[in-house]
Amino acid sequence: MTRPVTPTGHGTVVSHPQDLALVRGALAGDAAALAALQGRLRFVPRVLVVLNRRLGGEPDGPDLEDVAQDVVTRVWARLSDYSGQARLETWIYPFCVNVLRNARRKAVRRERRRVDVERVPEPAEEAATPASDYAHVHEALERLGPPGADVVRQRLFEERSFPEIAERMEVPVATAKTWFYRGLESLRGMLGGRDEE
Amino acid sequence: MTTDRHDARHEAVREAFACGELAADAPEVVALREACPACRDAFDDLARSLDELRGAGRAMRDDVAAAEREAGAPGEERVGDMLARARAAAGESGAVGSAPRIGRRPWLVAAAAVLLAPLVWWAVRAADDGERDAPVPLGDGLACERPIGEVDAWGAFVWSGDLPSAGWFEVVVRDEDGRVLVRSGRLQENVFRPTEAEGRILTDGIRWEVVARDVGRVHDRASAEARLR
Repeated sequence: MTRPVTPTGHGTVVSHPQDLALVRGALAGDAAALAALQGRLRFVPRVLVVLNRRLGGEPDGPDLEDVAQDVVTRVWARLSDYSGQARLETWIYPFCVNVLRNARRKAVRRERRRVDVERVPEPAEEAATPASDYAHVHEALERLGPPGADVVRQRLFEERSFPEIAERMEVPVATAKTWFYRGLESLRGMLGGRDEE
Repeated sequence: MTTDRHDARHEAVREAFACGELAADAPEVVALREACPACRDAFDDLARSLDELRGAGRAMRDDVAAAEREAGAPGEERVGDMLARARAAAGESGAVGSAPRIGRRPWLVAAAAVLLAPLVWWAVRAADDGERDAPVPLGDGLACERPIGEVDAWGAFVWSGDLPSAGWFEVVVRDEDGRVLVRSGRLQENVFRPTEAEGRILTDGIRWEVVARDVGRVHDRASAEARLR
Protein backbone atom coordinates (compact mmCIF):
# COMPACT_ATOMS: atom_id res chain seq x y z
CA MET A 1 0.00 0.00 0.00
CA THR A 2 1.34 3.45 -0.81
CA ARG A 3 0.41 6.64 0.94
CA PRO A 4 0.07 10.13 -0.46
CA VAL A 5 2.90 12.52 0.24
CA THR A 6 1.80 15.96 1.32
CA PRO A 7 3.12 19.02 -0.50
CA THR A 8 6.56 20.14 0.55
CA GLY A 9 5.34 23.44 1.94
CA HIS A 10 6.58 26.75 0.73
CA GLY A 11 8.66 27.12 -2.39
CA THR A 12 10.18 24.28 -4.33
CA VAL A 13 13.63 24.25 -2.76
CA VAL A 14 14.06 21.77 0.06
CA SER A 15 17.06 21.81 2.34
CA HIS A 16 17.54 18.06 2.31
CA PRO A 17 16.34 16.71 -1.06
CA GLN A 18 18.06 13.34 -0.63
CA ASP A 19 16.28 12.72 2.65
CA LEU A 20 12.98 13.75 1.07
CA ALA A 21 13.55 11.37 -1.86
CA LEU A 22 14.36 8.59 0.59
CA VAL A 23 11.17 9.24 2.54
CA ARG A 24 9.03 9.39 -0.58
CA GLY A 25 10.55 6.16 -1.84
CA ALA A 26 9.91 4.45 1.49
CA LEU A 27 6.30 5.61 1.54
CA ALA A 28 5.88 4.30 -1.99
CA GLY A 29 7.11 0.90 -0.81
CA ASP A 30 10.47 0.99 -2.60
CA ALA A 31 12.61 -1.75 -1.05
CA ALA A 32 15.92 0.12 -1.36
CA ALA A 33 14.43 3.24 0.19
CA LEU A 34 12.90 1.22 3.02
CA ALA A 35 16.26 -0.40 3.71
CA ALA A 36 17.93 3.02 3.74
CA LEU A 37 15.24 4.36 6.06
CA GLN A 38 15.79 1.41 8.35
CA GLY A 39 19.46 2.37 8.54
CA ARG A 40 18.61 5.98 9.34
CA LEU A 41 16.17 4.89 12.05
CA ARG A 42 19.08 3.42 14.01
CA PHE A 43 19.35 7.00 15.17
CA VAL A 44 16.23 6.44 17.34
CA PRO A 45 17.63 3.96 19.90
CA ARG A 46 20.94 5.82 19.89
CA VAL A 47 19.49 9.22 20.70
CA LEU A 48 17.12 7.70 23.26
CA VAL A 49 20.16 6.44 25.18
CA VAL A 50 21.67 9.94 25.05
CA LEU A 51 18.44 11.65 26.12
CA ASN A 52 17.71 9.18 28.90
CA ARG A 53 21.22 9.57 30.26
CA ARG A 54 21.03 13.36 30.15
CA LEU A 55 17.67 13.32 31.94
CA GLY A 56 18.79 11.05 34.75
CA GLY A 57 18.93 7.53 33.36
CA GLU A 58 17.33 5.83 36.38
CA PRO A 59 17.75 2.03 36.39
CA ASP A 60 14.00 1.63 36.96
CA GLY A 61 13.18 3.95 34.09
CA PRO A 62 11.34 3.02 30.93
CA ASP A 63 12.44 0.18 28.68
CA LEU A 64 14.22 2.04 25.90
CA GLU A 65 13.47 -0.66 23.34
CA ASP A 66 9.74 -0.20 23.97
CA VAL A 67 10.19 3.54 23.68
CA ALA A 68 12.08 3.10 20.42
CA GLN A 69 9.26 0.99 19.01
CA ASP A 70 6.74 3.66 19.95
CA VAL A 71 8.89 6.34 18.32
CA VAL A 72 9.31 4.35 15.11
CA THR A 73 5.56 3.72 14.96
CA ARG A 74 4.80 7.43 15.36
CA VAL A 75 7.48 8.47 12.90
CA TRP A 76 6.10 6.11 10.27
CA ALA A 77 2.54 7.33 10.89
CA ARG A 78 3.64 10.93 10.32
CA LEU A 79 6.29 10.35 7.68
CA SER A 80 4.15 11.83 4.92
CA ASP A 81 4.42 15.18 6.76
CA TYR A 82 8.20 15.25 6.28
CA SER A 83 8.97 18.09 3.89
CA GLY A 84 12.75 17.92 3.59
CA GLN A 85 13.18 21.27 5.33
CA ALA A 86 15.29 19.64 8.04
CA ARG A 87 17.68 16.69 8.13
CA LEU A 88 15.70 13.51 8.77
CA GLU A 89 17.32 12.95 12.17
CA THR A 90 16.48 16.52 13.20
CA TRP A 91 12.86 15.91 12.20
CA ILE A 92 12.75 12.61 14.13
CA TYR A 93 14.35 14.06 17.27
CA PRO A 94 11.19 15.71 18.73
CA PHE A 95 9.34 12.37 18.46
CA CYS A 96 12.08 10.81 20.62
CA VAL A 97 11.89 13.64 23.16
CA ASN A 98 8.12 13.51 23.52
CA VAL A 99 7.73 9.74 23.64
CA LEU A 100 10.60 9.35 26.11
CA ARG A 101 9.17 12.09 28.34
CA ASN A 102 5.80 10.33 28.47
CA ALA A 103 7.43 6.96 29.11
CA ARG A 104 9.54 8.41 31.94
CA ARG A 105 6.45 9.90 33.53
CA LYS A 106 4.64 6.60 33.32
CA ALA A 107 7.64 4.87 34.90
CA VAL A 108 7.67 7.40 37.76
CA ARG A 109 3.94 6.92 38.36
CA ARG A 110 4.37 3.14 38.28
CA GLU A 111 7.25 3.34 40.74
CA ARG A 112 5.28 5.70 42.98
CA ARG A 113 2.46 3.20 43.16
CA ARG A 114 4.84 0.33 43.82
CA VAL A 115 7.11 1.59 46.60
CA ASP A 116 6.62 3.22 49.96
CA VAL A 117 5.17 6.70 49.56
CA GLU A 118 7.92 8.19 51.73
CA ARG A 119 10.61 7.06 49.33
CA VAL A 120 9.28 8.70 46.20
CA PRO A 121 9.57 12.39 45.37
CA GLU A 122 6.63 14.62 46.11
CA PRO A 123 4.89 16.13 43.06
CA ALA A 124 6.39 19.51 43.98
CA GLU A 125 9.90 18.09 43.64
CA GLU A 126 9.08 16.67 40.25
CA ALA A 127 7.53 19.93 39.11
CA ALA A 128 10.65 21.80 40.17
CA THR A 129 12.77 19.72 37.79
CA PRO A 130 13.73 21.94 34.85
CA ALA A 131 12.16 21.02 31.55
CA SER A 132 15.59 20.04 30.28
CA ASP A 133 14.21 17.84 27.51
CA TYR A 134 12.51 20.92 25.98
CA ALA A 135 9.57 18.71 24.99
CA HIS A 136 7.21 21.66 25.41
CA VAL A 137 9.30 23.67 22.94
CA HIS A 138 9.07 20.97 20.29
CA GLU A 139 5.34 20.58 20.93
CA ALA A 140 4.82 24.33 20.62
CA LEU A 141 6.68 24.40 17.31
CA GLU A 142 4.67 21.43 16.05
CA ARG A 143 1.50 23.29 16.93
CA LEU A 144 2.75 26.49 15.31
CA GLY A 145 3.39 24.70 12.03
CA PRO A 146 4.89 26.17 8.87
CA PRO A 147 6.10 28.59 7.75
CA GLY A 148 6.83 30.12 11.18
CA ALA A 149 8.09 26.92 12.80
CA ASP A 150 10.32 26.13 9.82
CA VAL A 151 12.00 29.54 9.98
CA VAL A 152 12.39 29.38 13.76
CA ARG A 153 13.95 25.92 13.53
CA GLN A 154 16.30 26.90 10.73
CA ARG A 155 17.35 30.10 12.51
CA LEU A 156 17.70 28.87 16.09
CA PHE A 157 18.18 25.10 15.80
CA GLU A 158 20.28 24.95 12.65
CA GLU A 159 21.81 28.43 13.15
CA ARG A 160 21.26 29.53 9.54
CA SER A 161 21.37 33.19 8.56
CA PHE A 162 18.22 34.90 7.30
CA PRO A 163 19.60 35.26 3.75
CA GLU A 164 20.33 31.54 3.74
CA ILE A 165 16.85 30.70 5.06
CA ALA A 166 15.26 33.02 2.51
CA GLU A 167 17.17 31.38 -0.32
CA ARG A 168 16.19 27.91 0.83
CA MET A 169 12.53 28.87 1.17
CA GLU A 170 12.54 30.92 -2.03
CA VAL A 171 11.18 34.05 -0.39
CA PRO A 172 12.63 37.54 0.13
CA VAL A 173 14.78 38.00 3.24
CA ALA A 174 12.20 40.40 4.66
CA THR A 175 9.53 37.71 4.40
CA ALA A 176 11.72 35.21 6.22
CA LYS A 177 12.26 37.73 9.01
CA THR A 178 8.56 38.52 9.24
CA TRP A 179 7.71 34.81 9.42
CA PHE A 180 10.30 34.42 12.17
CA TYR A 181 8.93 37.36 14.15
CA ARG A 182 5.31 36.29 13.72
CA GLY A 183 6.29 32.75 14.69
CA LEU A 184 7.83 34.03 17.91
CA GLU A 185 4.76 36.17 18.57
CA SER A 186 2.53 33.12 18.10
CA LEU A 187 4.72 31.19 20.53
CA ARG A 188 4.07 33.76 23.27
CA GLY A 189 2.23 31.94 26.00
CA MET A 190 3.13 28.54 24.54
CA LEU A 191 6.68 28.69 25.92
CA GLY A 192 7.99 29.68 29.34
CA GLY A 193 9.60 26.53 30.71
CA ARG A 194 6.29 24.72 31.03
CA ASP A 195 6.28 20.97 31.21
CA GLU A 196 2.62 20.16 31.58
CA GLU A 197 0.93 16.88 30.99
CA MET B 1 -3.83 50.87 21.77
CA THR B 2 -4.73 47.29 20.92
CA THR B 3 -2.28 44.71 19.67
CA ASP B 4 -4.05 44.47 16.31
CA ARG B 5 -3.79 48.20 15.71
CA HIS B 6 -0.37 48.52 17.17
CA ASP B 7 1.75 51.20 15.63
CA ALA B 8 3.58 49.70 12.68
CA ARG B 9 6.78 51.42 13.78
CA HIS B 10 6.60 49.63 17.11
CA GLU B 11 6.14 46.34 15.29
CA ALA B 12 9.17 47.10 13.13
CA VAL B 13 11.38 47.68 16.17
CA ARG B 14 10.07 44.52 17.81
CA GLU B 15 10.75 42.53 14.65
CA ALA B 16 14.28 43.95 14.41
CA PHE B 17 14.85 43.01 18.05
CA ALA B 18 13.53 39.49 17.49
CA CYS B 19 15.71 39.04 14.42
CA GLY B 20 18.83 40.17 16.27
CA GLU B 21 19.26 43.42 14.37
CA LEU B 22 18.68 45.50 17.49
CA ALA B 23 20.18 44.60 20.87
CA ALA B 24 18.24 44.94 24.13
CA ASP B 25 20.18 48.10 24.93
CA ALA B 26 19.75 49.69 21.51
CA PRO B 27 18.33 53.25 21.84
CA GLU B 28 15.21 52.37 19.81
CA VAL B 29 14.46 49.40 22.06
CA VAL B 30 15.13 51.30 25.30
CA ALA B 31 12.93 54.20 24.17
CA LEU B 32 10.08 51.94 23.17
CA ARG B 33 10.28 49.99 26.43
CA GLU B 34 9.81 53.25 28.31
CA ALA B 35 7.05 54.60 26.06
CA CYS B 36 4.90 51.54 25.49
CA PRO B 37 3.93 48.99 28.19
CA ALA B 38 2.66 46.51 25.57
CA CYS B 39 6.03 46.63 23.83
CA ARG B 40 7.87 46.23 27.15
CA ASP B 41 5.95 43.00 27.77
CA ALA B 42 6.53 41.92 24.19
CA PHE B 43 10.30 42.51 24.44
CA ASP B 44 10.42 40.49 27.66
CA ASP B 45 8.40 37.65 26.15
CA LEU B 46 10.48 37.64 22.98
CA ALA B 47 13.72 37.51 24.97
CA ARG B 48 12.40 34.64 27.08
CA SER B 49 11.19 32.74 24.01
CA LEU B 50 14.48 33.26 22.19
CA ASP B 51 16.46 32.02 25.22
CA GLU B 52 14.28 28.96 25.51
CA LEU B 53 14.40 28.16 21.80
CA ARG B 54 18.18 28.61 21.70
CA GLY B 55 18.45 26.27 24.69
CA ALA B 56 16.32 23.69 22.90
CA GLY B 57 18.46 24.09 19.79
CA ARG B 58 21.69 23.62 21.73
CA ALA B 59 20.32 20.53 23.48
CA MET B 60 19.16 19.07 20.18
CA ARG B 61 22.48 19.64 18.42
CA ASP B 62 24.39 18.14 21.35
CA ASP B 63 22.07 15.11 21.54
CA VAL B 64 22.16 14.44 17.79
CA ALA B 65 25.96 14.68 17.77
CA ALA B 66 26.21 12.42 20.83
CA ALA B 67 23.87 9.86 19.22
CA GLU B 68 26.40 9.31 16.46
CA ARG B 69 28.78 7.96 19.09
CA GLU B 70 26.22 5.53 20.53
CA ALA B 71 26.47 2.70 18.03
CA GLY B 72 25.16 -0.53 19.53
CA ALA B 73 22.42 1.08 21.61
CA PRO B 74 19.76 -1.28 23.03
CA GLY B 75 17.30 -2.20 20.31
CA GLU B 76 19.40 -0.88 17.45
CA GLU B 77 19.69 -4.30 15.87
CA ARG B 78 15.92 -4.65 15.98
CA VAL B 79 15.08 -1.43 14.16
CA GLY B 80 14.06 -3.47 11.10
CA ASP B 81 11.47 -5.33 13.17
CA MET B 82 10.29 -2.05 14.67
CA LEU B 83 9.80 -0.58 11.23
CA ALA B 84 7.95 -3.69 10.07
CA ARG B 85 5.62 -3.48 13.08
CA ALA B 86 5.06 0.23 12.47
CA ARG B 87 4.14 -0.46 8.86
CA ALA B 88 1.87 -3.31 9.91
CA ALA B 89 0.17 -1.04 12.44
CA ALA B 90 -0.48 1.39 9.59
CA GLY B 91 -2.02 -1.42 7.56
CA GLU B 92 0.93 -1.76 5.25
CA SER B 93 3.15 -4.69 4.32
CA GLY B 94 5.57 -6.27 6.79
CA ALA B 95 9.32 -6.38 7.19
CA VAL B 96 11.65 -4.64 4.77
CA GLY B 97 12.48 -7.01 1.95
CA SER B 98 10.15 -9.70 3.28
CA ALA B 99 7.27 -9.21 0.85
CA PRO B 100 6.54 -12.59 -0.75
CA ARG B 101 7.60 -12.88 -4.36
CA ILE B 102 4.64 -14.14 -6.32
CA GLY B 103 6.84 -15.61 -9.02
CA ARG B 104 8.29 -18.04 -6.48
CA ARG B 105 4.96 -18.88 -4.95
CA PRO B 106 2.32 -19.47 -7.62
CA TRP B 107 -0.02 -21.00 -5.05
CA LEU B 108 -0.40 -17.52 -3.59
CA VAL B 109 -1.84 -16.29 -6.87
CA ALA B 110 -4.28 -19.19 -7.00
CA ALA B 111 -5.36 -18.70 -3.40
CA ALA B 112 -5.83 -14.98 -3.93
CA ALA B 113 -7.90 -15.62 -7.06
CA VAL B 114 -10.21 -17.97 -5.15
CA LEU B 115 -10.60 -15.53 -2.30
CA LEU B 116 -11.19 -12.54 -4.55
CA ALA B 117 -13.60 -14.21 -6.97
CA PRO B 118 -16.79 -13.39 -4.98
CA LEU B 119 -15.65 -9.77 -4.63
CA VAL B 120 -15.01 -9.47 -8.37
CA TRP B 121 -18.41 -11.05 -9.10
CA TRP B 122 -20.12 -8.59 -6.72
CA ALA B 123 -18.28 -5.63 -8.24
CA VAL B 124 -19.29 -6.62 -11.78
CA ARG B 125 -22.93 -7.08 -10.70
CA ALA B 126 -22.95 -3.72 -8.93
CA ALA B 127 -21.54 -1.99 -11.99
CA ASP B 128 -24.14 -3.62 -14.21
CA ASP B 129 -26.92 -2.50 -11.87
CA GLY B 130 -25.71 1.08 -11.93
CA GLU B 131 -24.71 0.86 -8.26
CA ARG B 132 -21.07 1.66 -8.82
CA ASP B 133 -21.21 4.71 -6.54
CA ALA B 134 -23.29 3.17 -3.78
CA PRO B 135 -21.64 4.00 -0.45
CA VAL B 136 -20.24 1.17 1.58
CA PRO B 137 -21.57 1.42 5.13
CA LEU B 138 -18.56 1.89 7.42
CA GLY B 139 -20.23 3.55 10.43
CA ASP B 140 -20.46 7.25 11.12
CA GLY B 141 -17.92 8.74 8.72
CA LEU B 142 -16.42 12.20 9.04
CA ALA B 143 -18.10 15.12 7.33
CA CYS B 144 -16.94 18.72 7.38
CA GLU B 145 -19.72 21.04 8.56
CA ARG B 146 -18.17 24.50 8.69
CA PRO B 147 -16.56 26.51 7.26
CA ILE B 148 -17.63 25.37 3.80
CA GLY B 149 -18.03 27.53 0.71
CA GLU B 150 -18.17 31.29 1.16
CA VAL B 151 -18.07 32.62 4.71
CA ASP B 152 -17.89 36.06 6.30
CA ALA B 153 -15.06 35.28 8.72
CA TRP B 154 -12.95 32.42 9.94
CA GLY B 155 -14.23 30.92 13.16
CA ALA B 156 -14.30 27.44 14.61
CA PHE B 157 -13.84 24.40 12.38
CA VAL B 158 -16.64 21.92 13.00
CA TRP B 159 -17.27 18.43 11.68
CA SER B 160 -19.44 15.42 12.42
CA GLY B 161 -18.33 11.85 12.92
CA ASP B 162 -17.21 9.47 15.62
CA LEU B 163 -13.99 9.73 17.59
CA PRO B 164 -12.05 6.45 17.38
CA SER B 165 -11.58 4.76 20.74
CA ALA B 166 -8.14 5.71 22.11
CA GLY B 167 -7.81 8.02 19.13
CA TRP B 168 -8.10 11.67 18.30
CA PHE B 169 -8.94 14.16 15.58
CA GLU B 170 -6.41 16.35 13.81
CA VAL B 171 -7.19 19.33 11.62
CA VAL B 172 -4.82 20.70 9.00
CA VAL B 173 -5.64 23.95 7.22
CA ARG B 174 -3.84 24.69 3.96
CA ASP B 175 -3.87 27.60 1.56
CA GLU B 176 -5.03 27.14 -2.00
CA ASP B 177 -1.54 26.08 -3.08
CA GLY B 178 -1.46 23.29 -0.53
CA ARG B 179 0.86 25.00 1.96
CA VAL B 180 0.10 24.13 5.58
CA LEU B 181 -1.11 27.21 7.46
CA VAL B 182 -2.35 25.79 10.75
CA ARG B 183 -2.27 22.38 12.37
CA SER B 184 -4.49 21.64 15.34
CA GLY B 185 -2.72 19.06 17.43
CA ARG B 186 -4.77 16.26 18.99
CA LEU B 187 -8.45 16.99 19.58
CA GLN B 188 -11.03 15.02 21.51
CA GLU B 189 -14.04 17.04 20.36
CA ASN B 190 -15.51 17.70 16.94
CA VAL B 191 -14.37 21.30 16.90
CA PHE B 192 -11.09 23.12 16.37
CA ARG B 193 -10.84 26.73 17.47
CA PRO B 194 -7.73 28.41 16.07
CA THR B 195 -6.00 30.91 18.32
CA GLU B 196 -6.10 34.57 17.40
CA ALA B 197 -2.57 34.30 16.02
CA GLU B 198 -3.50 31.25 13.97
CA GLY B 199 -6.60 33.03 12.69
CA ARG B 200 -4.42 35.83 11.36
CA ILE B 201 -2.35 33.34 9.36
CA LEU B 202 -5.37 32.01 7.44
CA THR B 203 -5.53 33.19 3.85
CA ASP B 204 -8.67 34.23 1.97
CA GLY B 205 -9.10 30.80 0.46
CA ILE B 206 -8.38 27.59 2.36
CA ARG B 207 -8.78 23.86 2.14
CA TRP B 208 -9.07 22.08 5.46
CA GLU B 209 -8.93 18.44 6.35
CA VAL B 210 -9.95 16.59 9.48
CA VAL B 211 -8.49 13.18 10.20
CA ALA B 212 -9.66 10.67 12.80
CA ARG B 213 -6.69 8.58 13.82
CA ASP B 214 -4.84 6.74 16.52
CA VAL B 215 -1.20 5.77 16.73
CA GLY B 216 -0.18 4.45 13.35
CA ARG B 217 -3.63 4.30 11.78
CA VAL B 218 -5.90 6.74 10.01
CA HIS B 219 -9.54 5.76 10.54
CA ASP B 220 -11.25 8.33 8.39
CA ARG B 221 -10.72 11.73 6.83
CA ALA B 222 -12.81 14.48 5.28
CA SER B 223 -11.95 17.79 3.68
CA ALA B 224 -13.66 20.96 2.51
CA GLU B 225 -12.85 24.22 0.81
CA ALA B 226 -13.87 27.63 2.07
CA ARG B 227 -13.28 31.21 1.06
CA LEU B 228 -13.92 34.61 2.60
CA ARG B 229 -16.59 36.66 0.85
